Amino acid sequence: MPLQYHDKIVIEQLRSLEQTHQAITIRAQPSSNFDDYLLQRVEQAKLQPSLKAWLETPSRHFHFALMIFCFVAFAVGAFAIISALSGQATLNVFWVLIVLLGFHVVSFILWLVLSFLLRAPLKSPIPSLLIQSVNWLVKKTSKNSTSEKSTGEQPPYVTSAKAWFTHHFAMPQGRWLMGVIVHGVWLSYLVGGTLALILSLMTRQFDFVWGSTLLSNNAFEQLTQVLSAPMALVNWPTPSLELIALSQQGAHDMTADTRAAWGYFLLGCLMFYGVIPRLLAWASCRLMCAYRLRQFDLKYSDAYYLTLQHAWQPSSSIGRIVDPDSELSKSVHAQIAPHSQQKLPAAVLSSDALVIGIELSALTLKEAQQFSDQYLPTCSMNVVDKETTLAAHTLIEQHQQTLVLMVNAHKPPDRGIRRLLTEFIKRQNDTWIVCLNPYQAAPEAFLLWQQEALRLKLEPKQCLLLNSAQNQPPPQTNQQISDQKTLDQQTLDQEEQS
Amino acid sequence: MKTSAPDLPVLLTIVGHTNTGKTSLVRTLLRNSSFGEVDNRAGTTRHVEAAQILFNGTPFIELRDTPGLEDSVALIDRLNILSKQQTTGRDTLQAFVKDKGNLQDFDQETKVIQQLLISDVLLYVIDCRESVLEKYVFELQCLSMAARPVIPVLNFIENDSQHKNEWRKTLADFNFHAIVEFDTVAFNFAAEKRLYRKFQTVLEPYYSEFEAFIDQRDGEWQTLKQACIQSSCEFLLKVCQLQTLVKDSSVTASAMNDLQQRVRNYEKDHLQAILKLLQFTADDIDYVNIPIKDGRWTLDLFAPEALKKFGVDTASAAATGAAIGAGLDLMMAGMSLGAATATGAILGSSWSAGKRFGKQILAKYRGHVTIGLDTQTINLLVARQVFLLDALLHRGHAAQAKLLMNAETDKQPHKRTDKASKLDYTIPLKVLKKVQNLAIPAGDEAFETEIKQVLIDWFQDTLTD
Ligand SMILES: Nc1nc2c(ncn2[C@@H]2O[C@H](COP(=O)(O)OP(=O)(O)OP(=O)(O)O)[C@@H](O)[C@H]2O)c(=O)[nH]1
Ligand SMILES: [Mg+2]
Repeated sequence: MPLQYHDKIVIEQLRSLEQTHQAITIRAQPSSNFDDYLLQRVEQAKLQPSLKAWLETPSRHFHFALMIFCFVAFAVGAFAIISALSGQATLNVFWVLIVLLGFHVVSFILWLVLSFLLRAPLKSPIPSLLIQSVNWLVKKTSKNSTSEKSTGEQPPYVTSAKAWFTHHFAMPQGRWLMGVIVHGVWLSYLVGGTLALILSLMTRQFDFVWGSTLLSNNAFEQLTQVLSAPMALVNWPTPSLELIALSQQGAHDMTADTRAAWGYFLLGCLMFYGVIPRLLAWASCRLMCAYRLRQFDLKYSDAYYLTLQHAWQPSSSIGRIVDPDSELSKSVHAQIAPHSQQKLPAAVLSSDALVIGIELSALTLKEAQQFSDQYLPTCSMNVVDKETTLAAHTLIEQHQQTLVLMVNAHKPPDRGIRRLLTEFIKRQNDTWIVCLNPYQAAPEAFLLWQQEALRLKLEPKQCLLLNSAQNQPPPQTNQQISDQKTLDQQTLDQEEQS
Repeated sequence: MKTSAPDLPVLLTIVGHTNTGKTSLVRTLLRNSSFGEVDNRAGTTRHVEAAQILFNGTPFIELRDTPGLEDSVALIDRLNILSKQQTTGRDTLQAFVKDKGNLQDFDQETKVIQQLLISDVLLYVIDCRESVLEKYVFELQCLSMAARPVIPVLNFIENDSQHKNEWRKTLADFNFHAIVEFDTVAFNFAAEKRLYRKFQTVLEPYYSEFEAFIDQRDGEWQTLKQACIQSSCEFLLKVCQLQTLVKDSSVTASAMNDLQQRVRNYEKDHLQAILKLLQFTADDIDYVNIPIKDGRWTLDLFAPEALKKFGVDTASAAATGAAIGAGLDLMMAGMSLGAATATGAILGSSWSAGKRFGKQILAKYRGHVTIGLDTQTINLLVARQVFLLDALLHRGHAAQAKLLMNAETDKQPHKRTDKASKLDYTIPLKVLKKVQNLAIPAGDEAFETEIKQVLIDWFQDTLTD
């Protein structure tokens, strides 16, 4: 079932509340479509008494205020008639008509002109006035709650009311809703007047007269005829020409028939030029307003709704383990103790140590070449496949001297590399692992190599990280790494030793 | 094998050497930063974990993250022995899985091969920093035995392309042509779309389903991006309209404090909304408040380097002489009254501007001051929004490094965000100042929409890829 407009407005109210008051939390069950989901959230929200009040009262307050307005208008209308008729036994027909219908006709024509002839939407200050008065009212009534004032936040009720008002009074429906209010109030005024007139006419006897200083009698007769033309159409009793002539000011004593004819004419004018047009206008505004409100759509592309949409229908499921870890080959990550000294001794450099690269990538090899003259003996070979592995084995066997294994710092040792290292390292005390770090990998990567060295039963100092000279050392986050010397220091140390 | 009638979800297995970013890839595709475990060490994932990408609420693709292959050299030796007794590659793999003797040495590999045999498509994740070593070739051999479509995914592409071509050549030799470059950390929607297009090509029976799926994803992404921008613009409009009337100069400091606090709160709320919208968590970001000290925005924030990072021109900001708390210029209010009439917001806005104008005169007469944000602060807020959106819209859900949202750090994980420093903020500042001086009345939608659209357009132009 599609959402009704009042549902949409409550949803918008809830949205404004949720967006401004983070503390609000609403749980919602899964639903088959998003509209239902939103509705269901509203239902859930209404389970919380304070939220229920915030959501429902703006509409109640509005209708209550409207009722009061109408009631007052009704009373004013009745009062206007009563005071116009009081103390008079002879009534000037057209004077009474002006009292009853004058302002109404002017305002009605104004409304017609403004809303139909000037098609441009009226920018009415009324919505913001309404909101401000709501603000003001709330501020007055909640004077003692000062906490809101300091944070400058609106009290939730105002937030909700604001949302209610802005959505009702926003264009294009706002203009029709204003129509409903204005016509409703006028209608009450006119109905009050009409009822008072009927009551007066029933309980008291009036003589009706007319007269003018400036206008000709003919004009009056014509005016009366024109005014009564629509009434004649529905067989409403209207004064005849003789009757009109008869009741000219000071002409005659009135018969009961004449009185009744003028009484009906007055009532007819009120109905045909007052109540009925207002009623029609009110009804059409209501219809238009309902129509426009029905066209009002929630903007599902807004961040708020997108987030909700996601909660309603996630785009992915959460992970589930299909084939669990059988814990057969769990590798043990050794804990390593911090150590301070990290340098490749001059002895290693000066000797013709055997340097073997393990699966070095192009960039690492380039870096190794940069280092090779000053800091490292030249890399003899790079192990990349079975063939080179075999060759490396042979080399190591033949060489029987210091072994330097060069590795990528950015690639932590995997099982294959571990197997290789275990095979290569025969003499623990004369083997070095040098990590090159052309990709500026995070310090943790080096830590993993140190752990590997430990597993291979090398001394911590036998595993070291060389950062290229032009690059900064990696951010130092732990003891081991911060204690490790930069290249420059290493060179200094080496020079000292030699 | 599913060849005839489409049978959803499509089963996609992610395989590759250890540490190449398999789990990261799944995280980014799922937009879920808590899937599995991601770590620097080898062999982080030790089980097979599955999650589904849903299409209109129903499972469409099932992604299976597998343990990394660690020792294909030893593996291929074993497979070669087995293949002597088998006719096809699949038979060989099946035989390998059945042989319980392999479990001790090849526990993880057995899991992977089991998945290879039941999948519709295999995604082979590659660390492009590595050259094509023999062990990788063995892995590819192993994959091709499964006789399933393979889509190689080149990961770690931000550094260099040295090995990319080498990889492409080798992959072509294996007949794996549907290669995609996809960085799991620096997210790019176009790349993700290309990835799905590859799925579509290798999964011919699901062609139309993928077409619809990709269209929807695309639409969703655009909407999401738009919603982020709109949300940022709304935030900026809101804070620029914040104003406090100070009646007594002795309370100016505390009023300023309140105002600043409100700006901070709004920014944080907005940040949270954006994070939630993009399915990130508070863990993804290291938020540092616009620093406030002793009731003033602290000076270090406005240190030239900090400002430069966000592209605020100190010279011009100084020229405006705008210290926070400088009252609104009466002349400006007067001028904007004229401007508002010109924009065609005839009745509504001039009514409110007139009201404001009157208030201003009254305030001036009574010696009151209106406090709002100064140009420099507005500029900084705009810059922070550009930075935030740019970074988050290009952040993969696999990204580990926190996004630093403060003024000082320049060690951002994103190189893209240098952008913020080259920006011209004239348009947003002009618009926002106008809003500030005019304080849009509630209900004057036309004016507000017009102003907002200018801002949105600017953000959109700024945030193009
Ligand atoms: N810079 C960068 N880092 C990445 C990228 N992809 C993954 N990483 C990092 O690489 C490391 C390994 O990522 P994982 O996703 O755990 O890799 P995996 O393939 O699942 O690893 P195993 O489960 O151990 O086989 C993590 O530290 C990631 O943050 C990328 O594209 N760029
Ligand atoms: Mg993993």
